[in-house]
Amino acid sequence: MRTWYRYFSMGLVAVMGIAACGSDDDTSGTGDATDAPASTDGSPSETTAAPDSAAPSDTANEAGEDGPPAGSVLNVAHRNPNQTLDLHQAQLSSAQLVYLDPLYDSLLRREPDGALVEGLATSWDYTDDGKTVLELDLREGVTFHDGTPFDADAVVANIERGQRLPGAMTAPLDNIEAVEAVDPQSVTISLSQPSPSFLTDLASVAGMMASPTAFEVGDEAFAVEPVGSGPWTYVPGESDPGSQRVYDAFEDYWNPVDQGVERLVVFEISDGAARRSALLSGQLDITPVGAPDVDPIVGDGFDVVTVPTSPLGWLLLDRDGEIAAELADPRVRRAMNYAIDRQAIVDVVFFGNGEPNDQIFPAWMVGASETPSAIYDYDPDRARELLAEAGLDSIDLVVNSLGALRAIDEVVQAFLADVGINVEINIAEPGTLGSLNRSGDHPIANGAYGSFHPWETVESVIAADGPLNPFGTTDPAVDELIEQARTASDEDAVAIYEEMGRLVAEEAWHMLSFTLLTPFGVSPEVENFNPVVGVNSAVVRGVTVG
Amino acid sequence: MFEFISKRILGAIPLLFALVTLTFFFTSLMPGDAATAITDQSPLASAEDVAEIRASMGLDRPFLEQYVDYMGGVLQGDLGRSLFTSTPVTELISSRIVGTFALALVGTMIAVVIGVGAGIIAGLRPHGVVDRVVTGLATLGIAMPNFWVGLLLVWVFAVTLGWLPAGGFGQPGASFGDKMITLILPGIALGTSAAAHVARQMRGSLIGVMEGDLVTALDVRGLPRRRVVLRHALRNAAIPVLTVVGLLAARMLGGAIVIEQVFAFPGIGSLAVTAVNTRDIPVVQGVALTVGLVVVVINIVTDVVHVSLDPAARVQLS
Repeated sequence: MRTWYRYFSMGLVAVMGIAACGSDDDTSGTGDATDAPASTDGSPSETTAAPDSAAPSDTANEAGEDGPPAGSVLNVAHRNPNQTLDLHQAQLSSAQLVYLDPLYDSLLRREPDGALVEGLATSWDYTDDGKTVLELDLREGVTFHDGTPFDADAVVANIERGQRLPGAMTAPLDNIEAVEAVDPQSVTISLSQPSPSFLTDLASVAGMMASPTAFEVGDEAFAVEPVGSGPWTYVPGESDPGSQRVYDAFEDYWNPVDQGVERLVVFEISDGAARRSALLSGQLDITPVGAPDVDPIVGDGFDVVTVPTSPLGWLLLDRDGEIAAELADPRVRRAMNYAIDRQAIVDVVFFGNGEPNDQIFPAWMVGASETPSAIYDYDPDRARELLAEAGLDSIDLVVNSLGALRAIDEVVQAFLADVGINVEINIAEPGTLGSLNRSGDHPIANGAYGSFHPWETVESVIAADGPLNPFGTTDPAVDELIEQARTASDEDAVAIYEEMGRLVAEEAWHMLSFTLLTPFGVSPEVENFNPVVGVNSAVVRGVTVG
Repeated sequence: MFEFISKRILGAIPLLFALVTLTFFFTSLMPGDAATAITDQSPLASAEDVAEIRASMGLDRPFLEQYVDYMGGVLQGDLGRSLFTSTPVTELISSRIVGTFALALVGTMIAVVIGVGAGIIAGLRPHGVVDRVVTGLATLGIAMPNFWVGLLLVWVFAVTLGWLPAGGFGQPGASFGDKMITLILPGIALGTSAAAHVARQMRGSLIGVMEGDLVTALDVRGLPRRRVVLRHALRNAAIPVLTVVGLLAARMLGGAIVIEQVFAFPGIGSLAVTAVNTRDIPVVQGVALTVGLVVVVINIVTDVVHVSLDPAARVQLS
């Protein structure tokens, strides 16, 4: 019996040891939504990306038509594991782009500044005023890695498969009512209802194309040996799912300038310290790093390139006061916004790797205003006045938090306590914060609210039926703007989103702290690495190693 | 002996059954499930989407039904599929367990070579200078958490000196030698505290034997000191050390969970951590079952070796 007890206790320790190492050092596990941006006016915004990195992509690489230098290898890491290489079954955010982008081309592409450019489609246009009928002309001379030609039938097959399979990344395809191959080089897509972010969706996973011939092996087998038309082919024999994914350059690729290296290896490394060490010891060329690692990495002679991603902070969800009655008073919500010093939070907790921000559409987002004016300065006296006007001396709130958010929330907690708002921080289990935010049982949501296009944010955070508006609160003025945005031209939409962003900020639907600047550590050997705004994983087309 | 071994194996069956049951029960008590974890970062996932994913994974069925289904599979050698990647769990574990075993083996070897060596040197001259140094180092070794030792080793040997890789299990297509090299640092990190434990045990045990009647009797007979120590004292002193080594080897599988994270090493430990974070219960179950099985086997082997080395235990047995 003595030994019986021994086995028993060890099994338990093993399991509990696992549970204890749950959360990582970065916010990615905490609700750092889809990353990403994209859109239609080509103007680069000031905040866009890549301060330290080399030239933009049109200088591309010297390899040119001759393909990548023989034997060249690029080693990249990412913090989130790869769930699947089957684009139509991908559930996670576009942090997965690091795994999917080498393998698949999308119909449209997003430039590093978020502007939409040609991909497998060479032109696109809505042919009706209601913006529901989209015509696309397709690139000629493109073949998939298995030799299948890319044509209109391939687009139809991909859309139909995307609609059939439950992948969250291809959910925008569910809005397609019909897709028709007009001729081999053009398709017409009819939408059930206008979606201003649809073109942006086609520049991400929803617009990626895989070989329809490869679909014939079945959904499970396709996920093991996926076939796209991208710059690199997947090498299942040398890959180790959960540890590393290996890609080799595709000889017949239509745009060799994207193939900076002959072989690309993407490592899945969840531990921040392990990623940093691997970079510094030369095992990795590009990896996302934690904010505290930035200065030491630069000190060791490596480059750090940052890219703006998600706005981060609290959504004050219970605006009708169903659970937290005080939150029904806009003065209370505004008081919270005046009470926090956003610059101090960025400096203290994120070592400057953030841009203070009080608006839900971040400045980098193409289609949104480039310079939304800040509404709330740090003004604790004003906060106390507003609370007094609301007839309150002090209020008590509870917020769910997790991982890196906790450090931010503790600073916010101190600022709020200073004006009489007492916040209790409840630490959530990893992987549950998103569902707590959406449950309708908690008056405040916490996390990062990433998207590639303002409309995605509208559908998620602002619309009455948005998952991150679980109390379904509405405002007639906001609803009016949403309706206008639905069919507005891209030019007009900018002003509409700016007005909407200002309105919900003034009504204090949220208390955001800053927009994350995601840092990538980059080896000095690497050239042409230009991360894409809103994407917190490394997209490496055109990157070369010295 | 055969009866002894078969009894031990039979005794392990209800134990593993209890382990699987408890793991299943405890993981289901964790807040959230695979459907909430997988949609956690998605801003557009509605409650219906989450419910749809949950249903597609079969997680909406009654708890008991899921349990019975799972146990039925386990009895037929089917550990199910990962909820996250859809890969069969047996495939995931078999691709990862080699690395973890290699790591635990290196750690155990380091513990035995350094621990036994240092323990003998210290135990032969108790309370001398060498003994004090060894005892002090052993105390330090036990006190240092293995992940901290790992970080320190990476900083010195990988980042600063650049002699050894900071992590991983070799590049794709790496040679056997390259893979072995990646084992050195994590192996040392894993073996350090174990070596300290072994050294203390070896020292204490050797001192006990050296001060005992056996050695006195042999000395009186005029046997050379060398022969007394090597042939008689060490053999007797080794018995309790062996038990400790067995326990430590089993514990290394648990320690590997942390060390594999520090070194981004693809073993079952890192597999388990990812699985817990994504609420990938079949994988968590599979790892718990595998680790449990290995611990049981190590314990049986330790007991068998113990019995064959220790005449007293053999007498007890018969």
